[in-house]
Amino acid sequence: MHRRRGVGVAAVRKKQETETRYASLADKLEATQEAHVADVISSFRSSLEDFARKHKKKIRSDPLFRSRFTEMCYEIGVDPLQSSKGFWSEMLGVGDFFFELGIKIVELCAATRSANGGLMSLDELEFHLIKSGGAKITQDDIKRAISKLDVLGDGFRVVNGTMVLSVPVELNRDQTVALNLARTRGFLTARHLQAKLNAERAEEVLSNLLQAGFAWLDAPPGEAPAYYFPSIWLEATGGGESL
Amino acid sequence: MSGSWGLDEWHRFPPLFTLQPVESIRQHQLAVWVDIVLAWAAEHNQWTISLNECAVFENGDIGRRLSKQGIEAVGAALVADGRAERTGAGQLELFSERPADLANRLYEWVERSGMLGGVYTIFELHDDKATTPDNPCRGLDLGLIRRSLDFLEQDNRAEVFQGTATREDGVKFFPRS
Repeated sequence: MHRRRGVGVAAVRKKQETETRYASLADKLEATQEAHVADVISSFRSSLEDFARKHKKKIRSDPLFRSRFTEMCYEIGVDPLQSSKGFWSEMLGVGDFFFELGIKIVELCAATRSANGGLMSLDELEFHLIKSGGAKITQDDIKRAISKLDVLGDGFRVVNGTMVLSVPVELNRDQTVALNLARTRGFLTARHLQAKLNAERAEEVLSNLLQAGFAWLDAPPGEAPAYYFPSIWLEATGGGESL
Repeated sequence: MSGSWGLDEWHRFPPLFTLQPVESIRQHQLAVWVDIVLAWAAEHNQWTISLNECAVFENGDIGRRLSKQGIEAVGAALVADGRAERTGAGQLELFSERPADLANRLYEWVERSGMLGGVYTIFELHDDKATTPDNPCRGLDLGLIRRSLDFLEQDNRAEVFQGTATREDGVKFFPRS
């Protein structure tokens, strides 16, 4: 009889067994690792929570500390500002902090809207918030709080990095250009603007900004009209000294 | 350093001196002007002004002066707000508070002080040194006191007697009917 050497049943079985064992070993190993990672994360979370609990006061009072802390939270996938329930807001009050700040921002924007059309500089906002609240507040905090206000659907947002717009208006490109240009002095003339836009577009954007209530007209007899942005102007002139 | 909007800041804000073409902004502008004019009057203790000559409408430091049309609008806003009355062409009498508000405070004080039924001169109310530190008329402009008494008279809470001058005008207070 010709005997074929080769794959016998026993050998197949043995191979299968080995594979199964490897597989279960891998499973075990993976499970161990997973458990380990879960452990690490949960212990990290709990130390973060301990940390937060311990430094609750400092988080509320020290802007730099608060900023570092919230960044750390974001890095591990926790948004301490997001939910109104759960540990982060209840224990920590970080959510509350930004919520309260948000309310103050809304109030300030509303109170000044008839003068500035809903366009307020971050500097002016910061000044009022510090004056009214006493707590140390940075522009970073203000921006974070504003980023949480979008749920109001009220158009609250930071424009040009230095101003807060509190009305649901879209600024077009030309308007953004104009506001940027107004940043140094707080006002614009058609001539300034013609460095960036042609005469026709310059006139149009200035008239738009006026109609929107963002700008005030300065038209003394015999001079070219200028367009002033109250909030930016106050900052640009230092709030005390004249030009 | 950041600042905030006080009346001084507004008064050196050049566009304040141009009557604003956009309605919502103009409303705000006129409200600011009302406050500025009243603050100016209090500072200078001058409650009768001639609109076209009053220094408050000019800021030489920034080379701006409110236009005639603008001044007229401010005058109208003051009157509409109950803070002034026209007393002649271009003349305004300003009130440090609304006559109606003063009238109510005055009448409450009269009730509290047992002065109902009594007769007093306007000057007495203004110059009351002796008795009552809470007299709301104390030191106030005679014209304003007179205006608030007119208000009480219309409301049947007082009767005013004409004297030879405002300071000699007299008043009798009645209980509420």
